[in-house]
Amino acid sequence: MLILSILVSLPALNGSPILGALEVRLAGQALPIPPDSELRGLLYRLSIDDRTEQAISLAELIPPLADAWRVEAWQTGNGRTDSATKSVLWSAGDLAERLDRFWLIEKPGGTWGVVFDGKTLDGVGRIDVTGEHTEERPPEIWVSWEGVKELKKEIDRWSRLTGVKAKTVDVPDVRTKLLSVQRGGGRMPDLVMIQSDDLPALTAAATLQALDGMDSSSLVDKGRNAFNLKGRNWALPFYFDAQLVFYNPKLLSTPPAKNWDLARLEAESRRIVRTGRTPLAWNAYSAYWILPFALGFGKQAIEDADGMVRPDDMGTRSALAWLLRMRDEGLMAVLERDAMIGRFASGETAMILTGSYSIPEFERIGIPFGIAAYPTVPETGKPVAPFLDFKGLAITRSSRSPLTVRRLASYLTGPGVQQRFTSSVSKLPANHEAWELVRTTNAYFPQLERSYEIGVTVPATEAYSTYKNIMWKILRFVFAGSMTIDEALGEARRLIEANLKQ
Amino acid sequence: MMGKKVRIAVGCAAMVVAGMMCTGMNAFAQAADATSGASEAENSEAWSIELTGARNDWFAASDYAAMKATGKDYTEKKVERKGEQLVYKGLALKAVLALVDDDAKKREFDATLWKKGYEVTLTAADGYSATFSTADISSDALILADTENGKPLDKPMVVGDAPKNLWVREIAAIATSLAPTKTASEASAFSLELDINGKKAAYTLAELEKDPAFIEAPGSFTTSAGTKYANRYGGVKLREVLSRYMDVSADDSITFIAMDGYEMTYPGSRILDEADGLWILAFRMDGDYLPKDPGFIRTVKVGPGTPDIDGHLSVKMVKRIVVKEKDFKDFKLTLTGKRTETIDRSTVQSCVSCHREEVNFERKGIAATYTGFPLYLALAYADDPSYAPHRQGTDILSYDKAAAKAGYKVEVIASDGFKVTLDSRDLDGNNDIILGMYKEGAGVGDDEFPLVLVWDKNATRLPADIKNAKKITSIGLKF
Repeated sequence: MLILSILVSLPALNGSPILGALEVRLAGQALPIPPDSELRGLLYRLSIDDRTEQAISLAELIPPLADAWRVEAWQTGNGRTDSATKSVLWSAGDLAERLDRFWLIEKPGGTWGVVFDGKTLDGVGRIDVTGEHTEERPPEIWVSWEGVKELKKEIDRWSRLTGVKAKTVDVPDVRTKLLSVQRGGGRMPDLVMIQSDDLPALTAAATLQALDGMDSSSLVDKGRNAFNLKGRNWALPFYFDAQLVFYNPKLLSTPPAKNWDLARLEAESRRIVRTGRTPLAWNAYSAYWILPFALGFGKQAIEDADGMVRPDDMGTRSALAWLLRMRDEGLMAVLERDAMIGRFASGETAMILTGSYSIPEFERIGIPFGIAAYPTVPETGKPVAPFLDFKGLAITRSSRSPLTVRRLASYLTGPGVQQRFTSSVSKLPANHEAWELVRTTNAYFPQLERSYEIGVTVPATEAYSTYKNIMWKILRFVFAGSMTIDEALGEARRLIEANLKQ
Repeated sequence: MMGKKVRIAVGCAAMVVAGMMCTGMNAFAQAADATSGASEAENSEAWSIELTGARNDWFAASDYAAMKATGKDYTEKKVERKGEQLVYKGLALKAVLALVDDDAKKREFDATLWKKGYEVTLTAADGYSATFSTADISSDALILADTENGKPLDKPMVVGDAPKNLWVREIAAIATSLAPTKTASEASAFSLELDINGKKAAYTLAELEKDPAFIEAPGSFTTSAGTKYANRYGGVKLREVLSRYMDVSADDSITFIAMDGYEMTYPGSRILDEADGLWILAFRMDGDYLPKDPGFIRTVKVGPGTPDIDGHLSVKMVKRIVVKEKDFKDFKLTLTGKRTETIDRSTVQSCVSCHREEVNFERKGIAATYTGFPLYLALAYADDPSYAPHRQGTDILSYDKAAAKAGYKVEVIASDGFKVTLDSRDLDGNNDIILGMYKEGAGVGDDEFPLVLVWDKNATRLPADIKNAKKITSIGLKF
């Protein structure tokens, strides 16, 4: 058993206490923690009781604990830590899992306050935590996709503060490598970044451990749903990208309004085409970009009640008819990604559909652009529903450090990291609290928020994978004019059903 | 599954009371006769644990009761948790693992195997999983407890003299690394075939691992997109293995045939060049067996200085090695246009393996089947200034289709200066016009070597002025 003592000395200076050096003791031994000047820099904005505070969680300043059952915060006066006058005690068996919600808040005059479980104490000078180390080996974390540099920085920050030497590896294709290492009996990582459509393969191979016991109530519902398969939670949502309309502001008469519709999009396109430019372009061959329109034109849901993904509904038919008409009238070009981006960058195309992951790339290259959430379909009153592509943090089933990485995953999905990381890479956080806090720091927040409201998550099912693969081929026949919409969708349904029966 | 599982348990419990020991399906077979009203018994099981190891089984509440009744492996652990002293009683975990630590249905615990070390993963009902190596803790350290301070637990808990992360409540599964991995299962059935000047031999991976030619050393390869992969490889020295059947000389040709039919030929000189390292047939990487793809065997070069080879020279999924001495002739094919590239025999052979086309060619007394790859794909090496095959990410196509459709001249030139001029529009996407490297399954003869321009007699798109060209050494693109 260890007793951690966090000692905040408050020396009197001209009669006013200041935030002093923080001392952490472990079994009577002082632990190295950042000096006061650095500690102040580690605080981040947090909304507590409708007030915005500068704070940091207790979990970020102590090593990961397997168990903690007692926390006591002591008030001190005149800088004397040995003359505590008042204390607040928290006693519960599950404190180790909840210290990421124990907030140390910077108070006026540089003093500390604490808030936890509805109890508060100001003028805190010392915090004693009674608990036990995890006694686990340093974890290995596999990260991928955009923002690897920023994410590594956050993991390094956690490592430095907690004393855990986490090893972070950039893996371009996490799913493939995980399955390959597992198949070969190699050493598995502990924490991995995955996307929701990795789940069928990874759960079938028993690669991950379910996270049903972890509290994910602070994370957005659509994110939690994205990583729920067969009633179990397999990952904590970390951030997400949304499909968006990217437009060239110089080529549009006015920026799209929040609740714009396809009629407005079409009218703007007719104006642009008269200038000799291509109004719209995207990869309409892909189910990934067609399904949002199908949902806008009346498709009830991606999956039917029996879990099948069927292509021959009225919504899909209407969506395809609209897209073909737009293409035939020269208002839209069907282009794959590279060609689409190239023409948008050169100013030849006014509007394209791509994901929010393109924002940092366009900013870096210097392409002039604005973004808009998908428009509404006037005939149905429903929005074209963008896909929300969640990335999440999962723990491998064979992890040797399951408690340590649970603490790390809680930190990464906590409001501090979520604010910093998502703002730096123009994504939306998966954490409710951070969501509100980045409202002013993420320049693209309104459009991303609207996209979340109207968006749907990518289904993590075999049925969707099959649908996607078959539609990729079938849609080419539709746009090439070699099959009618009805013929193509009927054939697609036959192929999907035949494939899933195998 | 549950029905069988439970009936096994009920049968075992009954027989243990009668002084008989049993596990698994034998017990089920006996119990099936002995037990009636099974459905009632099925519902009576409070819990069961999935066991995975050298064999798989279920361990149910009644199995637990039966083992506990013998008193043999039932023990006590005093531990401190959250500042309190607690007493747990339960079966030694090793007694449960004994059920699956070998593929026989016996109960003897294999202590030697435990000391040598294998992984055990404990999984709780809520999904929490923790893994340890048996080599790191005593076999007596953990128990599967059924009571805490004398009070029965609803479901068993793993607890004991081990780190707290291994104290797992409501245990639902216990898995060990003794279960053969998918790779190991597939690999155990794999054998490498050698056909060296008519002498045939085969080696399993187990045999290769024990071979005196086995070494482990660092090596690396760089993909054509510029990414370098460095690892520690284990495998047998290629030259040493081949030398058992032949004297490797610089003029020999060593052909590797992969499981998917891909072929690549090394000149003997490549294997003899040991300036920076040795070519090996690698089947381990960083201590782990290579999976089927890119393994089970791939060719790499290793050495103290971590030699780096071009990625395309590392043949993956090697199944067969065929050697015909002294018939290897290297060649070069130069492509000019918006950029210039000279490719060697290995690269051309790689093109043939990936884009293989076979044509039945008939012209001026020649009637033969040629194998090669479509001519239009070779144009990708010179049709734009920026991109060539495998020089960039897969999202960028090196072949400029738009340029081909716009039209440019393609001159196919033989070593004697003979030239055939074609239009890119006729070649675009045309798989019937090929650069042939093989004739009737063997390399083209000296009168045609190294490459010929041939087409299928039934080709639907054939330029009116196309001519057969032999001994092709260069192709020029004229824009």
